[in-house]
Amino acid sequence: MNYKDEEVVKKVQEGDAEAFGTIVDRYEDKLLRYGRRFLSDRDDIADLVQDVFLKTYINIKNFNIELRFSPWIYRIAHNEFVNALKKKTKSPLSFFDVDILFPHPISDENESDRIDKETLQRIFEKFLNTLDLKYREPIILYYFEDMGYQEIADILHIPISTVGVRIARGKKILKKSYDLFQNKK
Amino acid sequence: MEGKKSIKNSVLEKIKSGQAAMKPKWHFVFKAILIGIGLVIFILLTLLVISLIIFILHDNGAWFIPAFGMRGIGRFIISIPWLLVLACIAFIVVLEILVRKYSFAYRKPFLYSIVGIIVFVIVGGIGVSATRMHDNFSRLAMEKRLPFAGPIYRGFRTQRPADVYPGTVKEITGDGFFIEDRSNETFHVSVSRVTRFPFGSEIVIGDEIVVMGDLKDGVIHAFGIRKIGDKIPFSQGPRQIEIRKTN
Repeated sequence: MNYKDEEVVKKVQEGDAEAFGTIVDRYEDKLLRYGRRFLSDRDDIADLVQDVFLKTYINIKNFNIELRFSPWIYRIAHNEFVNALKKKTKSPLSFFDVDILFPHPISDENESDRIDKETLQRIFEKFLNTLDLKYREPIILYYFEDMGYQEIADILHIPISTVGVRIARGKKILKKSYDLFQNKK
Repeated sequence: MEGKKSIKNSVLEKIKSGQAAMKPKWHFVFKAILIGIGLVIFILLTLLVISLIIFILHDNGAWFIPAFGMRGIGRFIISIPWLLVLACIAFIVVLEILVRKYSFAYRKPFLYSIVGIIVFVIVGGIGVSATRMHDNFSRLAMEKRLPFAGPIYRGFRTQRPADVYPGTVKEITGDGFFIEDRSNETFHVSVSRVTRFPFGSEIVIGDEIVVMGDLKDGVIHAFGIRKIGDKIPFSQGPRQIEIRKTN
């Protein structure tokens, strides 16, 4: 039976621990991929992803099955990865900037953007590591994890309009890196 | 594939061995209630402090003096209880942190939530200050019957801006009038051509007024005079008034 994530979570909440194996099966690859792009040079991503699953299980009764499960588990992963980065880097990570202060117009993606998205994925993959984390994360979630603006806002706890701004700015920076690379070639 | 198996097996093993146990639902409900209670407590504290600031400024007359021009505005700024203002800012910061835990707040720009909170607490604070609550607390404090907050009220009540005199008109004289302040001290107020009456100059016995001016030899040389309409903070008092000044 192909149950929806939320239905599987309901079973886990009711005490079916085995059902949590299905959640691990469904999200392991996604979270490993997310972790690799997020943390790039880390070799302990598998350990971090394991901790994400354990935290998900421990807090699973806090999940409201009326909502979508995917942003919820990505939020846990985001926190885990950010904490891992904080431990490693000496300078404190700051996710607070003027982007979240003021309202920005939200630009919806259209058909041409969708085609652009597939091409961009290939380009992004190469230059993603050069991007600042605040731009990198929304780009990973939007272009590689297929999340919508609102879901990304819920994962990162930032305004929806800021998601759009960061994606647009990140794209610009990546395009610059790409053009520079092309010119050097 | 091996790594994949090991993550799944390891997670399920820890769950089955009890090393990872689900937190009960009540734990999260309790946490949410605590955040909710914290939010309510900080809202009430902020309303209390804002209304107390308005009450203090109203009580010592400073609230009314910006109408006297730059000198009034300067004195008003000096008279603001900045310690309470700082406490208020700290409470607003805590409120913002608590509010941003909710999706309705973090999905919107920071500016919206902070402006929303500030407008809410200012309007609420003005509303609270329009009640008799602080009058009653202040009276109890002066009678030393108010625990905890008593010293705050007594402390601020005894601090009055140096050249601001709120009081009641007791007698009209040739060059001005006499006022009596709340400690039953009487002052002679001298009105001259330079005295400012931003909201009219008809003064009658029994009027509640605020006088700004320098006290010399027991006489206040009025720089500005205005009536206090009532206890509502933004009240500006009567307006159609006959101007009467002496040399």
